[in-house]
Amino acid sequence: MIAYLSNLLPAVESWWTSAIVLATIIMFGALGEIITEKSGHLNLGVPGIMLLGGFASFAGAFIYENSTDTPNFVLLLLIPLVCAFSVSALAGLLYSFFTVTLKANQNVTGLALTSFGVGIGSFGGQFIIDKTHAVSAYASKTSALFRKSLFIKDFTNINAFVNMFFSYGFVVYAAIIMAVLIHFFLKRSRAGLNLRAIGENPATADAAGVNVTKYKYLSTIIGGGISGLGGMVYVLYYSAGMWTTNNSIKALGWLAVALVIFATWKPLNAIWGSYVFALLYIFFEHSNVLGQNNFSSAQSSIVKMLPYVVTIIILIVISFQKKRENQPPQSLGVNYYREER
Amino acid sequence: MNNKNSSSQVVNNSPSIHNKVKEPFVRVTKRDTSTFTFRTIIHCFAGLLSLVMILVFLNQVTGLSFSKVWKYMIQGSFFTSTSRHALIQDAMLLLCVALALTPAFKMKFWNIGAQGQIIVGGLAAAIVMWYCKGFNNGTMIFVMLIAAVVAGGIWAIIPAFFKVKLNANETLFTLMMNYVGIQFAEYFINKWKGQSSALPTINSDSRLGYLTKIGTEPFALIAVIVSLIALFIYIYMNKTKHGYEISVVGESLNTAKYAGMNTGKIIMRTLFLSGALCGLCGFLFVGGVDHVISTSTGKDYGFTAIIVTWVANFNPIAMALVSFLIMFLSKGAGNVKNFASTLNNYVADIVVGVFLFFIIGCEFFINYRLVFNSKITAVLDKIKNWKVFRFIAKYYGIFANKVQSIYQICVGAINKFFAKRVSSILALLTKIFSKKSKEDKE
Repeated sequence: MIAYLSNLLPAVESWWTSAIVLATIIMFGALGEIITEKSGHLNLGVPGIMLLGGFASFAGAFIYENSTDTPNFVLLLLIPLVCAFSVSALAGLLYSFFTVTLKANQNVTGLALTSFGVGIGSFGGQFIIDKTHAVSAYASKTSALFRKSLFIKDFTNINAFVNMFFSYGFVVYAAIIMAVLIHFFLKRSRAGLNLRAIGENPATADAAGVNVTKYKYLSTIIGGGISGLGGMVYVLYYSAGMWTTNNSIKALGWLAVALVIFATWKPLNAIWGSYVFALLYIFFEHSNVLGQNNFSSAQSSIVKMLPYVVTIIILIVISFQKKRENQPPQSLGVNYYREER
Repeated sequence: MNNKNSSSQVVNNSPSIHNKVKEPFVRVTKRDTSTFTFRTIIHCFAGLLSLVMILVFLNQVTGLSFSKVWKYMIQGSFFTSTSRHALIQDAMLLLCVALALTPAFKMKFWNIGAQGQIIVGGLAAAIVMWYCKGFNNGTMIFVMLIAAVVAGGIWAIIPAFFKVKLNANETLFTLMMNYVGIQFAEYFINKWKGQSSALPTINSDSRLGYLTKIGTEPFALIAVIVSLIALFIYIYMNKTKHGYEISVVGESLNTAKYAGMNTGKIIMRTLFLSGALCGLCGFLFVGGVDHVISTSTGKDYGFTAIIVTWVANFNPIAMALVSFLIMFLSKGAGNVKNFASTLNNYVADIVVGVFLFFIIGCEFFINYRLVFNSKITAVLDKIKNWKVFRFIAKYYGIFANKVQSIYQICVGAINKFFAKRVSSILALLTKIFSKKSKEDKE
């Protein structure tokens, strides 16, 4: 039995390690969306925002790498981070301008933002590669920096267990820390309380003297920025700095929206939830963990369906239980207009 | 007392006073009514502005002159018969989904799952095509149609059921159903294609289950079917008891309950209709256009159509107009790409996105009015008294009246034209529905 399991260990290890990175992407997307949804705004533009973030970080890194032969270590790290965060925050600003100030419908604006963001991101990435006439479409140096393990210097003689938990770049741990920080922000701080109050009932919060508009703007902008970091992780970490205009970031973005429900709007649940989602999402590529290789691609589609099915079940269960702490923010999807009753 | 009455004057004259009320620079109030002409002008203005933005964007990115960009855009949609047919076909398919969403949205039920319903409908049609090769062509198409409609309807009725029973959030539920449907389709695609890289066209030899073409291309039949659906939705929403019930539930669920309506039944019935029409669209995709199922069947029209329905304010004619504009921009931008090496396929998404944002944003100016503070208002009043603006205001009134009367004449003509036909259809429909509701009561 033990021999059998130890034979499987390499497969499990590779499954686990790639899932953790994928989970980080989903986690960033979901954390941003949790902050946004806590203010009562359902931002369906997350896939678009993530693609914009991925594009911006790639563009920043790629242009900087091609402009100098001896890139600065700090700039290599900062440029993609700042680019991804600021561009996706801008997309969040666009969304909040439409839904908070112009009071446009949230679903419609979010979906328009998704198609717009996917358009800009996919177009821009290709555009930059064509414009710079670079030899390779890789932002390889930045990517190497992102993928550099935070804890392990020497990989020659390493335990599988250590490899599975301590071999990742800083973003993987940053995502977990961010989730914990957001948890404490929402639960333990005055601003977090105000934000939750706005999501539940903006009129009451307004009457209590909270600046609803300011909170809504800030939460959407910061939430957008954090979601965009997910796209950055995809481009610079998961796909090793190569720009690809396929639909995978978009699919992961929808998975992030699903994860918010799965986590019942709690950042700490998003941590393990993202790992479960990611493990299921790439199960097919690593189906040899079952010890056999006759796992068909058709069956993998069913496994890929599981995150969404589980999310639906969670959605049904929370509306069945009617537990206060598991409900979506009460005013989710409804715009606030002070003069309306 | 005195202070309260003349507060604005006090503020203007003596800023040193302590209890001065801070007047916001601008505030927003709701409009009570907005006329048809006003709405049209705002929409046209937004559309033109977005077009200018698009032209500037394309000009900046490609370096082609405005006139050239515009010429290529027109060329891409209208110059050849193939491009014209493609434009009509895609716009009609988009319109079909937008029409399908109308009843659900009118009921304020956010059916974001149109894409999944299209794919599941298309998948059902494809399953019939794949497994029932013994049928003759007529039976095959009929069974495909039924399967697609039922599958789409079931896909939409599941969220509706949980909304009614447990009040589950329908936006998130339908959104998730999209991806369950897509993975479901992927399962069958992977199963059928075996080792080959992509699923080949189904029944390419026997051409079983292929919709008959009017002429040489599938667009004409699709146009006819979708026009019929548009007529049906118009009548269903405006002239039948069902349509009335839908709008009551949409306005206020409690009012509907108080009036004794079976709201659960209405919601589920409407969602079945909505999903069924999406399924029909999937059937048109599989049977009429692609003859194969893929995870991208429906080209994400399910998402675009949500925006189309919303900005058209449930008006079928406006929906058709918006669908055509979107397809024109998308195909036009696609054609500009052929003349500029710097562009790639995704430019169409950006162009359509810009257009949609402008149209969504302009709704604000239709529903709300901006009220500036007293200083700005004084300046604005001065500007309004300028000769130019008095001139414009005078002619705006005449122009507005003209537009209104032309619109009424058109509507009158259409009404006259359809009066006879519609009345007979209506009589039939009321017969069917009244029979049904009697059966329900029993």
